[in-house]
Amino acid sequence: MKQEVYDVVVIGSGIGGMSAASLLTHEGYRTLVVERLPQIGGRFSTVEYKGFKLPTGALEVEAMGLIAELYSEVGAGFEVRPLAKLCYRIGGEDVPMLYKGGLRALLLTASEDEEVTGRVMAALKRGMGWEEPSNSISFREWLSEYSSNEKVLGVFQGMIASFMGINAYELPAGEFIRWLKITRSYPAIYGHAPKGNLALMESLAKAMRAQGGEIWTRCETKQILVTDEVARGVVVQTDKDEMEIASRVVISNAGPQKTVELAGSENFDKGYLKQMKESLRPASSIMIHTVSDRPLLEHADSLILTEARRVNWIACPTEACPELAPPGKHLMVSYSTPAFNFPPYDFAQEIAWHLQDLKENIPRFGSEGDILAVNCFHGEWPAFRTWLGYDLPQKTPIENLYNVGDAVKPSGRTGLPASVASGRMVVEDVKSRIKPGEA
Amino acid sequence: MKRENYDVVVIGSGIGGMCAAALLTQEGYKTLVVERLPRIGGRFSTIKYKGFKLTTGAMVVEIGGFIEQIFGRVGAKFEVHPVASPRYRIEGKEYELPRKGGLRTIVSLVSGNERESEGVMSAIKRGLSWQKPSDSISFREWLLQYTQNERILKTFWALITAVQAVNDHELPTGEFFRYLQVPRPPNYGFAPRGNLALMESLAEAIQANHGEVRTRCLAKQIIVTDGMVRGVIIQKDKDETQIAAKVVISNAGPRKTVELAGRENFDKGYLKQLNETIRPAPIFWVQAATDRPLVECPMLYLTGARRVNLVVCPTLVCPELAPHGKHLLMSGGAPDSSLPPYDFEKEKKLNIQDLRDNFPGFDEHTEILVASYFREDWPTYHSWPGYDLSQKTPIENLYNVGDGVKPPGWSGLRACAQSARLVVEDIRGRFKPGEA
Amino acid sequence: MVVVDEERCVGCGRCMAFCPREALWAWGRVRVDTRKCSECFGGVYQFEQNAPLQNRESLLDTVATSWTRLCLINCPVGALRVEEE
Repeated sequence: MKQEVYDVVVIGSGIGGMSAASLLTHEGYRTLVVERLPQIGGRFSTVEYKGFKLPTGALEVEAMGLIAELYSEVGAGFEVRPLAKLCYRIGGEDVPMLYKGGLRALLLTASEDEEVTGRVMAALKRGMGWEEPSNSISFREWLSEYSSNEKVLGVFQGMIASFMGINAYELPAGEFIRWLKITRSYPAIYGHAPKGNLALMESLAKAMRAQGGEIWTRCETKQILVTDEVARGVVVQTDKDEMEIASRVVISNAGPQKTVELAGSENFDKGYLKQMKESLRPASSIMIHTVSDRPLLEHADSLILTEARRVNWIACPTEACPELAPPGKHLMVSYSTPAFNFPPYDFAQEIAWHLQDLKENIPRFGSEGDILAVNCFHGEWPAFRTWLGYDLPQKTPIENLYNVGDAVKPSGRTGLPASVASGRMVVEDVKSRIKPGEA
Repeated sequence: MKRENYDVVVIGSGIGGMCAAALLTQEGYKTLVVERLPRIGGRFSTIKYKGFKLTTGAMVVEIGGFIEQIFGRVGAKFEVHPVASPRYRIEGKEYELPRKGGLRTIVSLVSGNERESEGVMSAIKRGLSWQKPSDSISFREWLLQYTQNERILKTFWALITAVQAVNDHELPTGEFFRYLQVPRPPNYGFAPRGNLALMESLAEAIQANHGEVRTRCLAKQIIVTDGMVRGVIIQKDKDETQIAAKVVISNAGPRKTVELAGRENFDKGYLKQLNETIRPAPIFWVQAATDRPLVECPMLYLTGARRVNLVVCPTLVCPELAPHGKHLLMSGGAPDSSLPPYDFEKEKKLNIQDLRDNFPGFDEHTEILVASYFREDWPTYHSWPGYDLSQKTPIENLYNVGDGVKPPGWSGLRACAQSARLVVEDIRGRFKPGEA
Repeated sequence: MVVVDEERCVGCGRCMAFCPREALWAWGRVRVDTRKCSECFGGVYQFEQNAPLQNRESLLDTVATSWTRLCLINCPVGALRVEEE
């Protein structure tokens, strides 16, 4: 068995792992990313299919914020083209989401009632300024004390399902307020990567390699080595042979359950295993790619539905980035969430309802849309490895073994920024414990 | 109804409420403390009985820590005589432990096996330096992964119940570690004129800064409109007064606060959390008159008894607490389950048996003055450590202080003081004095 | 031929996108078009028809043969495997 020595090994090249790896490399740590699949990026990547560049999970990227900051810090190119328009469909009308006063405008359109709008906004304001609501009830339950108007509830359901991949009655109330507070603190401008998300990840990889970091693809981790409750490296399988890689720190982007499997559950204390078992709730999602010769959305290139059965978000990346499709073709990506984020799922039914929602909400879908692909996310490859508010800490009980990614999100964060934030937190801790080269 | 105006009203004159009031008055907030009972101090006060100054709760006073700091800051006299060095009775012998590494020393003594004690201590060290273990299992369950030695388990049980007031199988593991990481007072002692004297000195400081403390004054209702607190309705003798206030701080315990403000004013999530979280911690304790001390050290932890984990003899340090020639002996013990139902007779029997077994001549030399079984609304803590609520309620400007809202890792009197400090900091960030 | 482990497959559709012969279709779960799939796998045998049986393992080596195995190696949950008919 060949042997190698690094400061840090990162298992998995999702955005969480790559954030941690690129930052650590930038700080001078000898870092290796090992990725089992032939390409990097995980659920923030691209596959080409019949000439279309399809997302493998996440689609829109925040043009400003944690991701842009990360890329800037490590010197990676960050090409993202902003959306033209984000709208919420309320009562058949496409209402644009403004930066200032946007939420109030949506609620007013939904309720057609100043008093109800005022009451809900005041309750949200109190939650953000005074004290967060308790997480012991869902956001929907909390909100229903201020308004039982279904259209108002629908605005939040659409928002929550689109951003967090779960239903408003699954999200703990306090978590929503925390998320809202963070989201409102900077301009939320979304956009698309013109060459696809894989290109963005490759840009991060390039910056990392330029500073001496290494990324090995087609390299499966077989084991995380642990002695006396301290991590000391990994065993990986490449095309050619098995290798033992010694490292001071191991960061796993493979999800906490896989991490436990790789390190051996006998090395974890009971409390952690119990917490993991009771906490983790993977969120599931169905993503459908539809192609057409004319754009299928009329007024927006990103649309959140508030009154559909299942579909919560529809995006047309080709509006901002025509390069993602063959010339003259248009791509529409729609997302839906099952009514209960618990298995068993009846995907045939979920897909049928998703398509029904598309037929009812997009006039030309039936006549002009061709379904290119249907992607389901759940279980070991979910939309999110856990619901907001059900995350584990980044540290595992094993010293110097960390998790990053969407099962260890810091509170109040979702999506790509959440994984980046988890990566940053781990990097801060690593920096406080060991210096580069201290092998 | 009469009307009055204050910046802040504090309901309850326990150590939490009085620390909050003292800090606020010192910063210029017009503050009123209303206390239902004829005497201030709550469970940190004194009752005179048969010439003895008995405590109404706290057995020892923390020295050199937060409480003393607050007294110093507001100019209140803090007269407390220290215990030279607490002792630990382990397997019949008494030990004084070093200030640093005390836990390691105890574990070594009890285990007698270097490898075993090293295993336990390195697990604890990892919990402190790397990551606190999860709260999802109890400390006892966690410790069992590192040792099966009953003597070590029993020792931790005794230390935990003495300090945290709940059993080792009830304390969430993370809370044990948080406790170790929060600053603990360098020493303990006794107030020569009783705990009430300390509270009265705090009351003097409050009054010197233009605050007011009213006893025999019942808070009947906390006034709330539109999710915000507006004041309190109080009753003294037969007269009711409406007190308008920008802020209300309740030291009456989170459950009582909900009752006073009206359940309908609290959102469902908070009420659910209150219901599921709050667990009053019970304690059985004894105060006895003795004609000789029966102990050498005024503060003695027992590690091998069935129930009793702490025995104090304050008169060894402050003879004025008892009539001439007499001594006061106090002991505390948690029941084997901190959840109801409770069996008073059983607890009494076991506690007294422990005292007989550990102190030869107990029966001949002692007269039990009072045996108390604190629980429910008058407990040792309004909630088990690790089961606290936050100091803020959902109602704007309505806060809780005290041992139902202990900050994580905090215990004892300092937990109440720290909860008060956090509330005062929040108030300071929200309004200036007089901004009513 | 490629076989799908129904327990593990989540229907993410990556295999479908990578298959050079459009032999896979993901719609909640993945279905294999055995004819198209066998052609790809069978093509290897025709190409190496004189290879001794013991050397079949070497035939599966991606460098040495034209069989891409892209479906297998791109599955994020390891739900695909190869089975002999």
